[in-house]
Amino acid sequence: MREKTIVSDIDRNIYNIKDEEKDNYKIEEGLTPEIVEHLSREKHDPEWMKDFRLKSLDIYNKTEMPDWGPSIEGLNVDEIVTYVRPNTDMKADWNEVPDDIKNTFDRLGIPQAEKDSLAGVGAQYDSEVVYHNVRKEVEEQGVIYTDMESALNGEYADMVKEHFMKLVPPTDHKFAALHGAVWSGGSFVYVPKGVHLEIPLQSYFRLNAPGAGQFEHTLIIVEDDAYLHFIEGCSAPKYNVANLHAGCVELYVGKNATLRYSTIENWSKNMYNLNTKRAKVEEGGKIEWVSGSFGSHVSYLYPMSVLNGKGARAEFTGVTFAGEGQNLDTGTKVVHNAPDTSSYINTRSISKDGGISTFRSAVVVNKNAKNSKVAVSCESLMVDNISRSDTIPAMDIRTQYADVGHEAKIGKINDDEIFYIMSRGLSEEEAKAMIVSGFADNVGKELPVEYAVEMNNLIRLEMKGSIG
Amino acid sequence: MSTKEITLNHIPSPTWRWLKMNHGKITAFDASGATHDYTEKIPSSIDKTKADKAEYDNIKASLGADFDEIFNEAVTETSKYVIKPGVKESLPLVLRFNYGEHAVNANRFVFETGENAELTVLMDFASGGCGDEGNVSMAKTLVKAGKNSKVSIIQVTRLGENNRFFNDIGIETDDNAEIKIMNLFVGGDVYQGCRVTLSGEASKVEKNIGYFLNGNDKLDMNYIVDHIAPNTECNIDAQGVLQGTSEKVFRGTIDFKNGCAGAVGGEIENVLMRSDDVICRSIPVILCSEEDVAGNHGASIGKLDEDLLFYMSSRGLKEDDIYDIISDARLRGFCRQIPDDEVRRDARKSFNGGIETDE
Amino acid sequence: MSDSLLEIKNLTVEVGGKEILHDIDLNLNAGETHVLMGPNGAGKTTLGLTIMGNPRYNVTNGSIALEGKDITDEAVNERAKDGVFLSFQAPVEVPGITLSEFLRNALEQKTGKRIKFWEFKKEVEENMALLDMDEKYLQRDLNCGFSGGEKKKAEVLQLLMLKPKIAILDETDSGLDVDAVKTVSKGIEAYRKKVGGALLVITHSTKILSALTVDKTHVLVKGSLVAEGDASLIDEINNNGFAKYEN
Repeated sequence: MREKTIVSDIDRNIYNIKDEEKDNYKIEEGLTPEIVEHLSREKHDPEWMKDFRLKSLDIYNKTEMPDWGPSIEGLNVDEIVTYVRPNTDMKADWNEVPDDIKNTFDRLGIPQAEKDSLAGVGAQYDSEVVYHNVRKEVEEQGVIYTDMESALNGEYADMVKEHFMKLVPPTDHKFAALHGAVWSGGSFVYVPKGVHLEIPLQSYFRLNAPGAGQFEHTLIIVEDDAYLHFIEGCSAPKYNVANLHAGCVELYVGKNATLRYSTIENWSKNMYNLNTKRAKVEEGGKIEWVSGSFGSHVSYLYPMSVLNGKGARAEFTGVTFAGEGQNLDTGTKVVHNAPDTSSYINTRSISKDGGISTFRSAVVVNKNAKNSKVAVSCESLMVDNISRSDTIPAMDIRTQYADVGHEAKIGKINDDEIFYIMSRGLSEEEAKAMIVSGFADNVGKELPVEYAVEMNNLIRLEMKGSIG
Repeated sequence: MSTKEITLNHIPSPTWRWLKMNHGKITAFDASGATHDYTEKIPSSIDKTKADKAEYDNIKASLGADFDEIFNEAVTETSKYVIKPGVKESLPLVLRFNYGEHAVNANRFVFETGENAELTVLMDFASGGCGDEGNVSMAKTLVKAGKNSKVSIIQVTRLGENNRFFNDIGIETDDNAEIKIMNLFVGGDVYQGCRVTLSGEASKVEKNIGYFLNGNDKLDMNYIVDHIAPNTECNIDAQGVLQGTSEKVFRGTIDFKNGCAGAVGGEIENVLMRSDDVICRSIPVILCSEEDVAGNHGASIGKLDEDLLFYMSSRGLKEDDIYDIISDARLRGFCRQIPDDEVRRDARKSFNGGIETDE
Repeated sequence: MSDSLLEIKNLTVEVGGKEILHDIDLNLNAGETHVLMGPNGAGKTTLGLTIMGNPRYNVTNGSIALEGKDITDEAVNERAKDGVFLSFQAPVEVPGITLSEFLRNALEQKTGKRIKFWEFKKEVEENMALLDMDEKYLQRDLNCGFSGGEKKKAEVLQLLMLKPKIAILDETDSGLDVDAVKTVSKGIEAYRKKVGGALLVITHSTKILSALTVDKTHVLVKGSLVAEGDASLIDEINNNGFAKYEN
């Protein structure tokens, strides 16, 4: 269980939005090489990283916006620049945190200090202390768990350099390039050969850069025969003044190793969540994605698994809940590049109050992936008549010896089920909430209990309205 | 005459570009001077006239506007076949096309069924043999199905790899109309579009698609069903066998538009891959903005059902043979649905090796 | 050296990670009729499927031999050619291929020769008459839309046409009315007379057994063989059920 210790002396002054006088750069300039260089200096990047950032910026400028998926017109990338400039506190004023966020905090019973942290208002809430304790525990097993900046410059510098943005190169898409240019913060995890880490590592501990997290980079390397469960995010909404999250997660899974990567995303409803997650799996290895997407105004989220070794396996279990004002485009991509590989995809999605949910997937089975097996199952639930749910799965199969099965279903909540539950005394609202909660159990049962409980609470809150 | 590239068969909801499945791409070509030959067998109850552009221009098909530009250059006259209200014609209207002698062929047809009428149309697109250059053919079939009418469109496409064929279908339904479409593809370099707009309440469409590709055959499909009115139904069933170095893209979109309460839509695709050099691309899509619907789709690519394999093996059959038998069985199943003896016979003869049975 | 047709020794079978059959020993000689009884879930069908070679069932110990040849790892179609036949409890529907075509294909596989159409026609019509089956079924897609009874008859028809050395009948009488049971029994008896093969009849009721002369009875409970006897064991079970074996 998480320990919670509260840092008491919080000087509210430093949490005001930074004073314009200290601002050396004009907003109109947008993201320039000078800004990127300055950022690199502030972070004490090694030379290669500085060059990498500049090259990424170049790629960013040359790459087109995506011509499919939800509109990201409301995103003002240049304004985001404000928050990556040096001397920016990236902290918000509690008064400016939207009411719906504050309400959710109350309902979920989150203590004030934790609220501050989540809202980007508080700084060192608990994270440093707890983080240090966890780190010591895992270090004893040889596991490295540190922040990306330190990793770049410490003993693991070479390992990081070898892997950084090789799985998701800046050329992948425009926001990967942006990430490459201005990334900041994030975790580096290394699990040595044969080590089974029983306790899950949680990125929640690592809210180091205050109000940040929007360009964080997570790099995890799990060596042969090892096991790790990594949990990212939490069900409490995360509010950020800068409304873009262009993070990047790169996961390397060694031979016969297993990595379970669980995420509950609940970014506030003004956010554009353009996250890129990718795993590369070697022979006999397994990647398990568990993903609950609840927040953001717009999401583009497709964790991708590249199965490069014989017998490698990917499992993806996800649930997406799109409510009012939300357009969540989520799904997964799998590439089978070796024989005897398998992938299992199970997703559920819910659309309500005018929300738009799109399940988008790509399954590619290459010629060298003989005897591969793929099973995809996606179910969508429409809660009312003003919402939208689309299913866009694509398959590209190039070997004779593959077994690919896919099924998808869409429909509304079963009236008989509602009637039955109501006949036991619950209101229609409660009945629907229960049904939708049950519908999301494909993810619920894969999460540690406290997360599952929080997720269910979140669903019930969303279903019973009065949030935003 | 430009040689620009045009795109066609656009999927209504595009996805990642790197998949290269959002649409097909061809080099534009000169379609002027196209010939329009075909033979017809018209049952007595069907009237043939000409159609004005206004009559069919707003019926949506799915090859796309860019292609339509080329097509409209090639075809200026459109034949219209009408069956009057109440008339239930049991004999099929048979149109036969023999591509091969001319470089470019193009035809546009409109079929109209009056209230309570029943019509079956059989179109046989064959190639008699053609020069090394191959040829280009185009056909567009537009249907207006009246209230309570039943329309069956059966198209047999049996062309050689050098025959490029663009075939578009656009259908609009009135209340309670029932549409059955059967598309059988054996060979060729084909771009097939088909859109059915279910604007009539409780109207239905069933699409049965069979494709058997070998050698360098290519098939690019774009099947769309728009559920506009309430209580509409659709069922898309595609069965395919890919051999040699053939390629196919199957885009199947079921779109439940807001207002189609009570609609039901299903899509299924079963593909047998008989060689390691084929490319099988599928993108079965369901779009939905109406709560009260039931939609589902399934795809099974690669292996035959385990239970089926076991059952047939237990009777002594080798795995390869089982795949052969099932592939043949599928093709024959489609052939059996051809409602004209002559066409059926010719079709059977032209399929690889010929398939004789005691039927 | 016995004229043992089917010899099962220490057979242990697992499916989906769970062990279903434990250490089974069973011996059938040519021409014998054996009955395998047991409550629901005992593993009777599992044994049938394992002998036929269904890949979902893993033999983790023991062996199966047919006429002295070890077939434990043999492919399904090879076992069929060697002479094993399983009449399925729930035969799969195979659209697009008629019963007639299927039979001919299977026969050609077995004999390695082309089937002379007229000979085939004569024999299959004879057998269908015996089974009281309408000839129309020959042109129907295999098992498609067949009622339960018709599916079972179609299985017995295949048995008669393929003439295996050993026929495993899995609940062939379940779901059939009295007349159908009589007819199916006639078919099974005809097989026995014509081919002299061995029969392993899997059942948990005994309707079908009244027409057969049973040589040995085996009782399977929770994956283990708990009793063996002659035909009289059947009556005992009919009277007392499986209770005494179930602890």
